[in-house]
Amino acid sequence: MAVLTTWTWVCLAGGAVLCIGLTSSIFRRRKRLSVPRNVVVVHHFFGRGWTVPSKSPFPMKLETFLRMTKTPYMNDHSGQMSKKGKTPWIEFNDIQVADSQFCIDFIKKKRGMDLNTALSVEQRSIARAFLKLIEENFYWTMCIELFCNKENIPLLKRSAPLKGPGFWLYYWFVRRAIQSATWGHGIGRHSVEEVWCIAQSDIEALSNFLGDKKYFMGDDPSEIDCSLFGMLTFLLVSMQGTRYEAFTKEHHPNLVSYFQRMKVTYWPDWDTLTTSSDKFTNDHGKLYFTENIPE
Amino acid sequence: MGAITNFVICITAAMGVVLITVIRRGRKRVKKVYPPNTIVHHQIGRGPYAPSITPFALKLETYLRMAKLPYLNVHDRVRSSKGKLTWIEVNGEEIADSEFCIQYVNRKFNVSLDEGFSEENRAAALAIQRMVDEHLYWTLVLQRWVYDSKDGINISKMLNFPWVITPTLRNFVNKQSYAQGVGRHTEEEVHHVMHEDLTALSKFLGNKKFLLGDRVCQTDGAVFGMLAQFYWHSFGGYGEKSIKKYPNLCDYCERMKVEFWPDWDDCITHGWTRKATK
Repeated sequence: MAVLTTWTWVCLAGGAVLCIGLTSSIFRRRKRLSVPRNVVVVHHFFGRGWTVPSKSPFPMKLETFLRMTKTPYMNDHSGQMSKKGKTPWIEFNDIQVADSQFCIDFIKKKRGMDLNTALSVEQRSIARAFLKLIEENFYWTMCIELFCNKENIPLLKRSAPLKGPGFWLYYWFVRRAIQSATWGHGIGRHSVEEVWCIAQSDIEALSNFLGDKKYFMGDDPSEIDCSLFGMLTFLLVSMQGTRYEAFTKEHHPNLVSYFQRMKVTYWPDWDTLTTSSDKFTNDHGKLYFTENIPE
Repeated sequence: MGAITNFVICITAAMGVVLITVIRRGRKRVKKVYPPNTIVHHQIGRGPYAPSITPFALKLETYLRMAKLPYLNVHDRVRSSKGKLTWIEVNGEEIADSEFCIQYVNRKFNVSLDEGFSEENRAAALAIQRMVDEHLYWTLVLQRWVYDSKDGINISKMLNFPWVITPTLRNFVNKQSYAQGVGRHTEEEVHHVMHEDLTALSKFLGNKKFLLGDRVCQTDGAVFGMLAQFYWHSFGGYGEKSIKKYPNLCDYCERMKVEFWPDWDDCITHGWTRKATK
């Protein structure tokens, strides 16, 4: 047998990965759900997590909103990505919407509802600003800490979808994707320690604004609570064992108490939706809030 | 065919040499000696109708004026260690990124513009800064470099850039904004989120003089730096039409200009008709 060159091996490996990816994609497509009318279908690319209902904060945000508003919905865990390359995305009566915030805006319009009605004009603008702090800044600090700080590799190994040599391939791909995205964003040009300083400022601002309020903006939940809860799920559970989580628990316990309150209120079935739990049940295709489906 | 191939190779090689030379010149930093304990603000030069065409240089310089700190400008177009356009050096120490620069000068010169405001207000102001610098900014660059040309605005002429690099800049903005996320939206969706941010700013400001009341806070620099681009450097395009729907934001820009830039006319090129004297 002729000796194969290094480039030939690289091409063969790339081809193998492509074939596996395509086959997986075709196989996943066969599991498309049949969906009743007037039900929101939430497409989760990552599926349920080991210790969290979703590994990404954005599906958590969206699903928390659906639960907060008791909107009829079902989850699709077949792993399809939206046309924008973003996840999560939704389908509603054959209309597709990508981007978690656009999804929420769409659902609000379709159902004629608004969680922010009790907020003053100034409060709504503050909520918008914090939404951007959480999703356009703080989120990236956590991604950089997890995948660009080598101290967190043992933590990643525990929760990664691939083990052994496969883990390093997964780690390399995800790290490169985050480095590319955050370089374009700008925050990726800072060192891991500089990003840590930025994150501490964000955590402090969230904690100081929350204070001892029950929800972020006051006594009643509003839309920003969905995003903040999704991000705190990532921070306090997915990033458990990191300095980010330790810092929050030690210096800003009000955020931890807030997270627990939201979890108990809107995710009483948390244990059935995390794959590490012996109570886990796959809710692919399960309908929620069917009593609210309009006739 | 052989002659054509040779010709193409020569042109490509020549362009490569020119590009490398330009990049190297940009990176070359000749260490100069500046007065001690003076903030040296490196930026890319004055703009046509506002002191800078980049919001972050205007943010930083406005902050230095708000805090009454000793500084001088060096318009050398040299990028920072992080590849960004605005940076400072103090006593030979270089600091990149406008927010890090502000934090540095706060520590070095014992400045705290936010002192006296409640913790809740300071937190809200930080959130406003994140919204403006990490989100509204991307709607501005997409509008400026990608959408405005479709509306007939010759942005390279307006910003005094060689027209040949405009396609490269547009491509660069598309790639960066796609990586960041905003660039994955359609133009209509980008306009929608632009207005959501401007509405939030307008409602937060209300009829206050500055963001948090009668005196400036740290975030006023960031907000002014960004809004100035919409107000003075959108050249009649969608950005300018958008901000004009919020009269209190326009009034805020004029107020900040009068308060912190009394020498405004000396710090702009008046549509590239003359050199700025400061």
